[in-house]
Amino acid sequence: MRRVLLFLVCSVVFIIGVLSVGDVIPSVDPFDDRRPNLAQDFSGYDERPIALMKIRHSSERGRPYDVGLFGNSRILSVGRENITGNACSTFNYALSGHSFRSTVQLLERLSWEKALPRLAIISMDHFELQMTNNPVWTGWWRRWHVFLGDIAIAFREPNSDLRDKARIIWRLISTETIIFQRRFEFSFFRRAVLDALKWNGDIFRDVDIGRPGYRPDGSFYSPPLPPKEIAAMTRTTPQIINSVLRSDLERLFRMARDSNLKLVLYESPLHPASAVVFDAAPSFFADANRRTFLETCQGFGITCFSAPREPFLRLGGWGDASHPPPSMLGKWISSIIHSQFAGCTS
Amino acid sequence: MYVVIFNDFAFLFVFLPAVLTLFFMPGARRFRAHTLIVSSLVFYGISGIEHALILCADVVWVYFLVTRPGFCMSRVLLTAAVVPPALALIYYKYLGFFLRTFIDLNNPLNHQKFNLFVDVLLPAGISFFTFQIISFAVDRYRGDVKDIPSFSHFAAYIMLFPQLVAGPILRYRDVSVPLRHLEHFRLDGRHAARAVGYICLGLAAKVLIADTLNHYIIDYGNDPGHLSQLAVAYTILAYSFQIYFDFYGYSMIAIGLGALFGFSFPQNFKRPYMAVNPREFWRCWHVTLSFWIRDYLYIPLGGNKSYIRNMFIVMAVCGLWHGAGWSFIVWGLYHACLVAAYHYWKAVWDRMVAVIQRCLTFTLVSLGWLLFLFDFAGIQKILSSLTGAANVTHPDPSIEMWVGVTIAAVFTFLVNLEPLAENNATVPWKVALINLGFSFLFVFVLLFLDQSETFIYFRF
Repeated sequence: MRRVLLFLVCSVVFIIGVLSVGDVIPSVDPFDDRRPNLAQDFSGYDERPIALMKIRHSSERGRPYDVGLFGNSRILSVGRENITGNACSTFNYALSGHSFRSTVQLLERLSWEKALPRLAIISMDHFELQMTNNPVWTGWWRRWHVFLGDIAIAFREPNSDLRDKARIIWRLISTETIIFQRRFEFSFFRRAVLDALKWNGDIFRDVDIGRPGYRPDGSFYSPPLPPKEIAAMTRTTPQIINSVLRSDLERLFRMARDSNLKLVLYESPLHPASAVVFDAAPSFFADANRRTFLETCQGFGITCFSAPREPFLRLGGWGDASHPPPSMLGKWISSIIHSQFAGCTS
Repeated sequence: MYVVIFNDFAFLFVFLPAVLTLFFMPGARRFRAHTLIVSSLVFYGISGIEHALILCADVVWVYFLVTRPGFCMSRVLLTAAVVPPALALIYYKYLGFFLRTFIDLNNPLNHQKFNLFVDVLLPAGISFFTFQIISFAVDRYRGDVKDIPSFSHFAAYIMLFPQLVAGPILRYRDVSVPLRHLEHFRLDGRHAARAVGYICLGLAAKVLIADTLNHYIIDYGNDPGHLSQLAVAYTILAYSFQIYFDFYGYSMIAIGLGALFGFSFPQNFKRPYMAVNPREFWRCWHVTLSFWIRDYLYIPLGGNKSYIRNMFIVMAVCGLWHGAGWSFIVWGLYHACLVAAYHYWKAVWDRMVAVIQRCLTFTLVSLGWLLFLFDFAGIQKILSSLTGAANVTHPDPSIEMWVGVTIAAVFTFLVNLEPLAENNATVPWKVALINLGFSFLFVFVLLFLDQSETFIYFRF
């Protein structure tokens, strides 16, 4: 059995090595303000190193941004050029495919690094789409800590049933599986090893004009989409437990209060075709989540609201029913900034 | 449709550890056969619950009949036992093909009329487990299976997930002893080391060699009519190695998984590309299928008494077993021609030096695989490319692509992997080096697992 033990021990060591090396980020800062605001090639990087690079950029910048945009792909494409009518310095901290929980973690980490912006505008998924709420970009210890906390909350929640616990466990399994598999993609591993050995140099080359890529303002540029008909979304069952949402909002509020951070949270808009359907007949879960969201925010004095329909009535440019065009979203966010800040100094 | 396959993170890191834990759980020894059955049904059922139901129905039906008193030597009971599984195989695999042959299904009216029989989703591995079920019934009928196994042992024998979807095709005698001793099986160092060796090398053969070659030839395969002669030669060579390492890799993993549960599966490949003639090739390629066909079809047909006639029949059946299409039947008949030609010109062939014999056999076999890769229209196109008549739009194979084929050739002709896979070295430094190598290979394979393809033989 010794030979098999040797195999198992060596395999575990190699696997840990592969998992660990994925956390290495390049010495070059792709979000440096001095870079031209052009889309760059981020092949081989997933959201974990991208989050770490955004955090490092903010902490090494020396002075805070006026406005930070937080959320996921629904706000990620909003760049500096889309924020008009003010002189605010803006950085997009959003991480594709991430949940509100991940955003809270990111803000806590920025707070710890003393790198928070002055105003954080947080895009939350529409409450009909709140399918997962796991932190993804953080280290495994953080994810497991959150998982145990969620399980404890689910047991305390009077209305929580076995399905809620099963969903929390399934979400953890699903998240961990995705992260684990991603670390074993060869392109990802190769890039991480080269970064660790500092053999990569500045690998963030500008992509060809019109091609997608991350820009130095933290946003992700996607080429404008041709007009297309977008049908109303199919209804799914949102899976966020009210008490988990409430506890996240509480953490966020406490962190904002301690760090003197101004917060604006909004529920992301839907394409008009879907908005008509869901506004007319919201699901029970979405309705309960939205009520919790608004009531908790009101209790803490945070500015929270659902995005109004009027600014998003134009049908062109939507990627799908839940991804508004960056120009449209940016214009609306500019109006929020205008209402929150008398004038930016930077 | 999601299929759990051996070259999948979910299988390696969730399914297999869970099954091993349940199998070796203290106090659950008595339920080991049940553990294997349930886990195999989960393994199979994930691809479609109705497919698992067909498997269960086959198992229950055949077991019910073979345990009837007087089953031995009762042709009626034997027929009753084998016909339903065979009909299920025909319905799922061949009915659509037969209908397409005789009826114009492009006509919407016909298509609607025969909707129930065409475009039916083929249950993975149905050809394998049906053959296994038939072999058991026939062996029992012939009196070769003296002691009737318990239902759980019979079900475990048919459903055993390491070999369920792509073999090796087991006879009951291959597993009867391990099944009887399942409760007392203890995973010792020898079994575990063997499992490690076979699984690691099998995964490497599949993921690092077969899938890399697939990646290289995919563009050529999609557009066979616009290739240079060099690209055609490359496609023939690369696909020949790809299909070998794909199935060989699967069989090695199956043997390794079997060893974890106390089974010693027969080898399915005996270095077939080293065969010196077409007849020997069939004694070394997919050995368990060749022997199945010999014992349950060729010999009942009269065996060597009508050698050529029977050879053509069994090879046509062998082709049809591989796939419901004329190209597969032609492939079978092509091999029958090769074997018959060898039979007639044996004296001339055997006078050639062994290297020439091997090269000729390998070339002829490799040309035959084109019938696996393309339909008749594709064959026509690639043959036109081969003659240099094509309008070439694809570049010639790169150096990297030739390196891939060369590596595959080295592992085919110069390296015998089985002794290494046995992992039974006794010199301490060799033991350390080999197992360190296996762990490195395993983790290296994981880095390419996301790009790995389904096993080719799953569709049979």
